[in-house]
Amino acid sequence: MTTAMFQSEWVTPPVRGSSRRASSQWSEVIPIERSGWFVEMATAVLRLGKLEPNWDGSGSPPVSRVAIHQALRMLQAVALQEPPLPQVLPVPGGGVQLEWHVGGRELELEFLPDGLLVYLVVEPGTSPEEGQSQLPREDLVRNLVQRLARSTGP
Amino acid sequence: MLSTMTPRPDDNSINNEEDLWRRILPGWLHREPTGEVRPSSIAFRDVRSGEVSVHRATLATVDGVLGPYPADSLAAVEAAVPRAHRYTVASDPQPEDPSHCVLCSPDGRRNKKAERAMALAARWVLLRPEIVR
Repeated sequence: MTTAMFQSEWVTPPVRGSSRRASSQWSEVIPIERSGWFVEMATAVLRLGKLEPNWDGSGSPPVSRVAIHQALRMLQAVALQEPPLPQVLPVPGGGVQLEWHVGGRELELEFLPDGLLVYLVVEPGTSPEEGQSQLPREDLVRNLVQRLARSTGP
Repeated sequence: MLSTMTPRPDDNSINNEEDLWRRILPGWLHREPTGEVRPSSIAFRDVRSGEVSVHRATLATVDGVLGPYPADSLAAVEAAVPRAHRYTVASDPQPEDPSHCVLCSPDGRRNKKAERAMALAARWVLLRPEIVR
């Protein structure tokens, strides 16, 4: 498979030890056909890191490096699922939210400065489902995005 | 990060029908498939305190709230909406802003369902022209 690498200190912080470096290198690979999607999303997330203190006019601290790192990591994890482009939003208090609205379905993934993921799933005909988990949880995020994709398939 | 403090007591002098204004940043706008623009749910949260700043419409003016923020929009939600989700509506008058109130989530915990409900119930007082997705 043709691949392209997108490396960033935000996505993959430096690790000590050659064995960890060697084993983690393939987790950074994104197929070339999805690299545009990821680069666009990563750019939007990284842009949030430039917000100044009090960016919301109500005293919010800047968007935290932890939240940005986790958002990028989860975007990387779902890139292969070819989800639609989410809206990328800064959250008062220093978090990052990825938000999808697809065919009556909604998914909100909020990455908090303390490493917590809070999510909301809205599917037609059911009550909204809310949950939270300590990150990283690539499996959970992939499953949530997969549910969103049900409405976009044939 | 998430507050567990006891929410402030509800101010029952604020009627359920009274509009509460929330300032909406340009980056918090969302366009529905119908073309309608509404606030994102994150406009109704603050992970630091669990309290969301709003203004009593009866005591505020658009210029007074948006004056320092010329790019922002203003949305209104009736006090009944947060109360329906067990939020309290507490007066928090400031010397420079007697209209200031806060919406306090139950037990100081965040509630994404309630935040979304408030976003869906919001009506525009002033929507600035803005490119949104």
